[in-house]
Amino acid sequence: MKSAERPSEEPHNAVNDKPPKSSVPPQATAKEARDSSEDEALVERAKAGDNLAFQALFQKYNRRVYAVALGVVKRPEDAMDVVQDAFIKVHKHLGTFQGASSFYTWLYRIVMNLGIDHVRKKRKIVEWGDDVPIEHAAGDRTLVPKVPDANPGQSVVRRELSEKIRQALDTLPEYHRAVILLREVEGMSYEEIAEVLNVPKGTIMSRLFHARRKMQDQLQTYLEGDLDIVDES
Amino acid sequence: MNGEHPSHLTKEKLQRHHDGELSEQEAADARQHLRTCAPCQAELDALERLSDMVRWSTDETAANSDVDFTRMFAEIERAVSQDDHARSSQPNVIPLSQKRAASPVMRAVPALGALALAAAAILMLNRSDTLPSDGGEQQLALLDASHTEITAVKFGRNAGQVFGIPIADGQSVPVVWIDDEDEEE
Repeated sequence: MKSAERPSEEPHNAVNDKPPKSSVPPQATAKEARDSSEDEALVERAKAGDNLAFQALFQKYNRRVYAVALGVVKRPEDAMDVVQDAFIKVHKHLGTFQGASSFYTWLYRIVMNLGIDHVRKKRKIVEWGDDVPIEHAAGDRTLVPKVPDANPGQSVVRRELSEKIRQALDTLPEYHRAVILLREVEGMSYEEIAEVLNVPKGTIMSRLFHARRKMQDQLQTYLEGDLDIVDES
Repeated sequence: MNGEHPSHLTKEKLQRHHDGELSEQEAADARQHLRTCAPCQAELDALERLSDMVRWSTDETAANSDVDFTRMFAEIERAVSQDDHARSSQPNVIPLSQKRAASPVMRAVPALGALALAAAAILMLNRSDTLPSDGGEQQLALLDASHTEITAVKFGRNAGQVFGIPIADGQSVPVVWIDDEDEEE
């Protein structure tokens, strides 16, 4: 493959001009999830009524799909609804799942459809700015990474950086956001993303290009490493 | 820059390289170019940096959201259970034969519609003694002589059969005849 293996897993520490270390609990990485044949067996068992198998699928993917859903719908409670509804749908339609695509892409298709539908319905009801409570808007404490050993200076920098990234993501149309999240967070190939979003591969490339360009425009300062940040510790 | 100078990698190729979507040969060529082209390498670095930032921010945000997945799974189980219960409480409609099941009446009228009409039909039959004698006899005659048995139905402790009853203009309506198990005993 493909030169570009996933970018380094090294932490991004804004002070050192790198992303801070993620504190995401260990779950199967996207690659591990895709490479695993475990899903097939779990799906078959779940189809036969084995609830433990269904629970295992839920536990394997819940955090990953939540992260992506949250990136699309923005509000934690909405993301929770999306994930919950997605797994209810999975359970309901598991019997008709033929395995033509992987469980992984099938699950993400359900999640993304629900997420994007959710955003569109919300937009029809209220203006976005009126709909986001202050506590969940950019700057919300939930958007600030909790790094127990971080010093105050780093926390401020991380908070600022995280807010900027979230704001940049939030300005993208949902279909651009979906593509960039599936690529950057889930590490999906263009083909997988095309399958999940049910659009041609060329469209995925185009959306990804435009989404990145918009993000780069907004995060230019951070991307160029021009931050003049003093570690206050 | 890129795209303007023929020797530079196009933005599209840089993106595909970054995403691991180039063929092995294309990727090898790109790597070779990047070794000596600082502007292209800088663009690639920016793409990588953006990927890191998006992934970091998204993962951290999710990790710091207060999500109780145990509770969520319990909710899912509850919803699934309710759905199963709703389905199991619906009558189990069993075609008596392929031919009968494929009858126009069956195709045209969902079995659930038959159930909705069942009560009305039974009431009508039970009240036949109160109807004018011509009307009551007509109903019974229809049921007796012209019915077409199309399905068997089970709902709860009762079972029954669905009949297509001809009405005006060549139309049929489904009627459920309920066999009360208590009575059989």
